[in-house]
Amino acid sequence: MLSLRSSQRIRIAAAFVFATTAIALANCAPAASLHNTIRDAQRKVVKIYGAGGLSGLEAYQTGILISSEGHVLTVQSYVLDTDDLAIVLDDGRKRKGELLGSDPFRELAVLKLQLDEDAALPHFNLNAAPTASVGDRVLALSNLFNIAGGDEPVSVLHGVVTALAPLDARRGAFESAFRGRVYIVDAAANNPGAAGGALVNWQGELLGLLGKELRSRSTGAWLHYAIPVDQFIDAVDTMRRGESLGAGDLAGSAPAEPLKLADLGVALVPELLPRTPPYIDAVHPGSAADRAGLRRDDLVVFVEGEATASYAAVVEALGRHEKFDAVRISVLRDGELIEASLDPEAAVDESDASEAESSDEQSGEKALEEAQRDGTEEEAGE
Amino acid sequence: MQSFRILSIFLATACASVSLLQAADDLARLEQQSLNAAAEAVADSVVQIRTVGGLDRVDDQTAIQGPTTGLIVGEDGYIISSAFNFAQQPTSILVRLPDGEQRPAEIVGRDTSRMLVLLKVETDGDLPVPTAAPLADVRPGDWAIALGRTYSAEQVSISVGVVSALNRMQGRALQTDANVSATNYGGPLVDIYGRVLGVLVPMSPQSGTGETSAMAGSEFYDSGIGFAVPLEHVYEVLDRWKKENDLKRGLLGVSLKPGNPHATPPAITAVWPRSPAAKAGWKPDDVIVSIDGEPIDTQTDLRFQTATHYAGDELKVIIRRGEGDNAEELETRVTLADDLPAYQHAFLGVLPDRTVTREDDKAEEEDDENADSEVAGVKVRTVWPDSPADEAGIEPGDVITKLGDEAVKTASEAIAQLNARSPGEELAVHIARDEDELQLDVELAELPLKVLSSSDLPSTSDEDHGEGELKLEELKLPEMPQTARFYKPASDPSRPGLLIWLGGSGEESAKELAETWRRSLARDGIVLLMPEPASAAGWSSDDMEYLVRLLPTAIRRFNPDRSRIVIAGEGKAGQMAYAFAFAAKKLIRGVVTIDSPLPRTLELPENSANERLAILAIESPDTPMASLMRRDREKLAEAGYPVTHVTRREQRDGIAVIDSPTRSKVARWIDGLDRF
Repeated sequence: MLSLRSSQRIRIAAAFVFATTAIALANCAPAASLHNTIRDAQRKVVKIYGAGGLSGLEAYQTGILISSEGHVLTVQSYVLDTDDLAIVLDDGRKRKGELLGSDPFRELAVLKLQLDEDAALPHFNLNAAPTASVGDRVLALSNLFNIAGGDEPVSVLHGVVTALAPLDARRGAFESAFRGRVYIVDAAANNPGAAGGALVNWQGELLGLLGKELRSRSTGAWLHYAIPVDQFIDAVDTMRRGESLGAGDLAGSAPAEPLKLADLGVALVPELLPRTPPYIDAVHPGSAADRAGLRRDDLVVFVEGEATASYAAVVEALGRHEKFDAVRISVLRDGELIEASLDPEAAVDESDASEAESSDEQSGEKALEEAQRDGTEEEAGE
Repeated sequence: MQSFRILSIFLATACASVSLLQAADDLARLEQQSLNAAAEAVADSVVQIRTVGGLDRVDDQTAIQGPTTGLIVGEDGYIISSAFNFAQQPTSILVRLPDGEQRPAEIVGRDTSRMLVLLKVETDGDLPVPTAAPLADVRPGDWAIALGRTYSAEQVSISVGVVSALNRMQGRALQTDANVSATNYGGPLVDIYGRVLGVLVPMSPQSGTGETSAMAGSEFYDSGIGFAVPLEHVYEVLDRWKKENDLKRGLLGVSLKPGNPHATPPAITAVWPRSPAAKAGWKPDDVIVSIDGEPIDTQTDLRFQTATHYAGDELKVIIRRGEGDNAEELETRVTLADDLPAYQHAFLGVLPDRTVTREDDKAEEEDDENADSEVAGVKVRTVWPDSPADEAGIEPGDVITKLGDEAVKTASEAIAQLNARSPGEELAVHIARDEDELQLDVELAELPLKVLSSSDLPSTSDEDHGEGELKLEELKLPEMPQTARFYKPASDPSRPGLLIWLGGSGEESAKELAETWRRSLARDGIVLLMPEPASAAGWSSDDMEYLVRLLPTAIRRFNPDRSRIVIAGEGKAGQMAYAFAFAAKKLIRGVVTIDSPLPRTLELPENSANERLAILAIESPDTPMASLMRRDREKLAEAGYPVTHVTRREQRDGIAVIDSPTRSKVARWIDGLDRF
């Protein structure tokens, strides 16, 4: 956590610059329209103060108002782990907050402000939220590094949407549970305290919620991203009702019986080092791999279109499929890319069939089996 | 004043007016459209690259695992990318072409100065090649859009910034504040017109010097400091790159006067032997005045002029020689080199008389000197035929008293003097002959490769002819199971040569070996030490530790002449001899191998001035490894070692044996190792 700080020092400077610039733009300038957009959006962002403050864990984060009566959407974190949650509005008003519900999968939470007055608060309308395309200019609003104290408006960073991509990220050694598509931005948006902030377009419309600090799983670089509104709008409804999403909602898509190399009749060159290239060491005669024409010394480069840079990657990619799934595997052989379709079930069926070619009864059984299997698949689909 | 007030009122009104807000929105929209169009114009030339296998860690950093980016630069399938993306040395490379097809790619070559890699894929149709932005038009502040294709194969990733500076990294790259990281290294930096400014790379000032890897500079990712190598430059060198495969930084081979490089003029303090600078005739104290017409005032100016060039480029350099009124300007042409030649020892051409020079026992020597009232110096035992000494007329019995301006009393002092010089240099040799003092001027040569004939090399001890019963003695190391056996000539020379022969196991094989070598050993005063491998299967790298411990023990035991410690072996044992000799280069002076290529895992260190390892490679006629070993000998010579090559004569019953002429050749070669 400590080394993380130093690498972020550079990014904080960038954040400062634009916060100042945004205020300077209050003068008559061509970007008057942008100024209005920013000021409006800032009013819908709140600062949240709660637990933490020790060993590099900030006791603050950001949230956005999503209803006129004071519902606040933010990230679920240790900051909310207190009965004494303070929420500071754009105008400096400080109110107590109460946790209504949380979503452990997306790591989101909805809070309710305890308002005595009947104020209609400015807020983002989730139902009217548009989507953005790659290259669109965006603004990230948050209280990153807790620079904006009291009644100061939150900091604004500008940038563009760099990519719309699945969140392939980790925090420390742990992979993030949420793997949905997120907006990657080229502003230094996700710094300490920024999580729960707003990503808006130049019209001030909400695009997504700034997430917690994460690093890319493949490059190790810090990610700057926001979870798009359509990824959490249903979950927010649940949370607003005062319900929390259970573990059951944790995209339980792991196969019941993961597909293994042995199921396909393939042995790879043993994994002696990290990144051992996935060369086929042996193909079991009569297996799905054999029937698909795979050979010893083929280099496995794709499993179902997913690149497999190493032995481990092949095992992982196969493991995302069920034992009975047919998979497309691409191999590199003598500098040529060859695609093969492997069906583990067909292999079993065929060996059964060859034994029982004369017996109608058995092939009838096979048909029955297939029918049953289709049935279970349908059930699973429901 | 009046008009100012009117202007203010006008501005205040305008600010509130809807039309101006409208204009701002229009401007924002136009900018957005232009940025999108610019990215769109190049997107089809941006490819996704996948690698398979390779190292897990490079430079203590986890190498990237995900996809990386490349840029099409040739419609026939040439693709450029960042060296960072291949730092892990992948087993295979796949490129996804714009139509979605995956193609295997080969690395054509690298540009190790600008940290780029050129790839080639087979292609059916023409690929879209982007236009390069003319650098002359680019100014800091211009829009700069960084594209990558790592997040998604279908859509490029975009980061928008400006050009921050031109001519960064000694003129090799331009700088941008757009986000540059592993997500777009290898991708293009695009201007607002959809032309490519450059190829995104991580870079540090040390990049290309060989001091850092392709990962250098990646720690500045997404920091507002990113670099791109101008595409205009890439197109300029592309044809040459395809032909030469690798483009490397060019070196001059000079040392410069120390000082602040931004303020100190490039005054040369030393010229590396055989370097481009030496070939161009540059001398210490010359000052570089201009390169290709560009004036050079400081060392920084010099770096900017050389770093943008590659090895093989010819530069027109004007240097100033001399001071004040005597100063003259010389126009020289220098061809940059990718590597400076390895150090080679300078050779005068004499063998010292071992009976007088005893560098380890100065007191005794001085006594001798006083007793014989001889002149202090190095007495010549033999003059190497056709050497500089021979040509200058030095004779056996002469005493070398001074080399250049330095008095020399011992052979090791003389060698130290020669170590500081290089072949081709002129040197004044002062000798004492009888009552005369002579000064002879010689031009130093390279160390000789041939073996002296027996007539050139008078025997040092001829009392023992190797008759009588052969007696082997044993040398054991505590805690080591192996036994080393040795044979010492009966004459018991006080400073023998030491030949460590990596033979087979057991006493019998040692006896046999000693018997065949006996006469040669006796004639040239050499102790033969025969260690055995730990395993009967032969010598392997596991025996390295044993040899490392054996050598100091043997040196203590035999007190050999330090300039004649030799290790030898045949086949695999010869490979072991190579490995050990390079590991113990400070102590070992010669390595003799028979039919042994260099070990494949050996990283060959370059020759260095204070060590004098010589190589004798013996080869059987018709060995299948002949071409491999020839390449190895070239490699060794390139690294600066004197390599003597001998083909042994006979083969008996299909088993190669060392015939007696080859044996005595080896012995004479060892005898001549203290030459200088």
